[in-house]
Amino acid sequence: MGLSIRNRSDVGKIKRLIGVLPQEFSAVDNLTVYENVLLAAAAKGVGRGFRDLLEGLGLWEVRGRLFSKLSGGMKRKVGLAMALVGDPEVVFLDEPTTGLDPQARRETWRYLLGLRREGRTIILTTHYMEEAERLSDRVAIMVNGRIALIGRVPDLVAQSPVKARLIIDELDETLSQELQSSCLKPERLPDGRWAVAVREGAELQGVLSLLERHGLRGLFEVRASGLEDVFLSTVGSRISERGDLV
Amino acid sequence: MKAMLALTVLLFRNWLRSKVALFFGILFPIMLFLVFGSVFGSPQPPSYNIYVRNLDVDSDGHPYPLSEALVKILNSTVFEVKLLEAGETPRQSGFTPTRILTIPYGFTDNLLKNAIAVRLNVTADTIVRMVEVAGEGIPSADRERAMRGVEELKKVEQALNVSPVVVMLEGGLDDRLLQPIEVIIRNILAEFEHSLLNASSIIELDTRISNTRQLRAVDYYLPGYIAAFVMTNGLIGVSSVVSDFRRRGVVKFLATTSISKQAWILSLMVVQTVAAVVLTGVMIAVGWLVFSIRALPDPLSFLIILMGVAAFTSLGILLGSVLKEADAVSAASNLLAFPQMFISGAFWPIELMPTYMQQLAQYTPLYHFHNALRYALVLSSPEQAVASIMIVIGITVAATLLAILGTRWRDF
Repeated sequence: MGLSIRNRSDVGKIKRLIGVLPQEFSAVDNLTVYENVLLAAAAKGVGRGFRDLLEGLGLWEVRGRLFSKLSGGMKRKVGLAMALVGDPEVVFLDEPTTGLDPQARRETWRYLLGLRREGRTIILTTHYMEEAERLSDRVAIMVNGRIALIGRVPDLVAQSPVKARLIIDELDETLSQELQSSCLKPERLPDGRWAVAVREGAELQGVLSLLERHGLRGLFEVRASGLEDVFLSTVGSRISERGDLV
Repeated sequence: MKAMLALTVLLFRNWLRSKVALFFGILFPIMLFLVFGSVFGSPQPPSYNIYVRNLDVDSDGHPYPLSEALVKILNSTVFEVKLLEAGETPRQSGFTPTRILTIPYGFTDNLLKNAIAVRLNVTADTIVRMVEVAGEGIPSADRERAMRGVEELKKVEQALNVSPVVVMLEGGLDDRLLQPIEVIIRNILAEFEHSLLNASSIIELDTRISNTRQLRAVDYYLPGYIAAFVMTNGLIGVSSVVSDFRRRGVVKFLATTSISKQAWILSLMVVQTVAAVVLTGVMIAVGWLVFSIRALPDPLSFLIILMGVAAFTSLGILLGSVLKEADAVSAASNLLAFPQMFISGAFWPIELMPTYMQQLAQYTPLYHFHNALRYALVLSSPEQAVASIMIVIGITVAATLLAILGTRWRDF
């Protein structure tokens, strides 16, 4: 587009091209769903033709309801509608599904995938790796405010040193020591289970034999490497539900 | 412009649906205006409570005629008389001051004797003066007879054995109204005494009611309350809205759109202007209906209100934009608003306050705002408040600039 945020004269043009959903955004309590979206439309200088948008997000039926009376998921959708009103060419969504229940999250994903199919550019920030994997064409992993890694998801996963991950229900002291003696470091997962990252086929075979010797047949699962492994190997730590590195 | 108009309408709806804003912005000032106006600004004459202990009664407890007449006269003036039995003490009720007027036993009898003695004295005195003035014009035999008559009159007066009639007024040390009440009672007693002697008044007081409207307390309250609540709506109301919108990310969201910072500030000012116009209209209507106030805002009054709205809304925007925590915004806005309400003389004339507070009042923006508004709206003589008007203009310009500078609009 040839515009730069550093150039003051471009700022106005950029603002007309973009739609933004700030992090933890919450619209005006004393306005209805319709009025909040109208507020966004007025601020962007666009008309009232946003019925399709509200219908697409499942908000048309509740358009007359005060924002304060909506559920958390509905509130997040209102924010999304405010960002998308006026059909901006580029949409910035800062954690649009944080705090949503799984169903609302999947509905939002469906809507965003529809926008992607229409050719809309969406820049989405998330700490849900599954979300990034499902929605994105390209992913950038940021560490301390800088892009550490950028690329298409399959390419990044293919480049990852971790080929698979073994999820073990229980881990006793002996097994833990044996894994560590093979240079494998078990990691405790938030659900209480243990994860062991393996880098090559031979290593995977070795761990499987070890688990069978310890009588754990059927008590583990093997997961193919994914974006989370890429993230972990890039950042070197795990991310919490709140988005913090732990 | 269209975007700003739509934003203003939506912000106004938000304000209208906020019960707190409506209560503190419109209902609360009207309630205060009605209460304070009724208490201090009523056209009804004042009424003072006084207990009367009438000891001048016969053996059956019936009052003698003159003491009974005095009680009736007291009751027909500014006093609300409550009678006490001998030995009875009034029941203390909160902060109501207790004043007791005791009419002594023998009041009627003594007063009659005193009245006769005074008349005898006047008669004797008149004869003596007449004889002195006439001198040799009166035969000496007649002069001697006249002087003997005077001596007889004096003997009768002595035989009456009169003593002063003492009516006792008791009151508390902290009763600030006791002194004027004492003056009123003295006047009533003097008139009573005068009537008893059947003497005609030499000096008369001619009271005339002019057509010129005098300012009452309620006239003072009207511009004071409008100014005070325009200030609180701006400082406290707007700062909390801006702070809330910032916390929710609404300000950040608006900053990412093509609407300008100036349009955002102007929208908030327009909403507050509408609120101030509503408040002024309702206050004037209530004042007209309840207190017969005849204030009609002229263009200058409206302009002063507009400037006050702009000044205090801007300060509210500044606080809401600069301070990060909602608690800090609330504390700072209350800290700025409440002392001004009481120090600036918005609720009572600053002449009632100590000198140092009067000087302090003149450093508050609210003082100049309500002062300018009072001269324009109620006194129709804004030329007497030029300094205040200029100061309000200065504050408006400075506060608006500060609001524009203090609002971050590109922090996305």
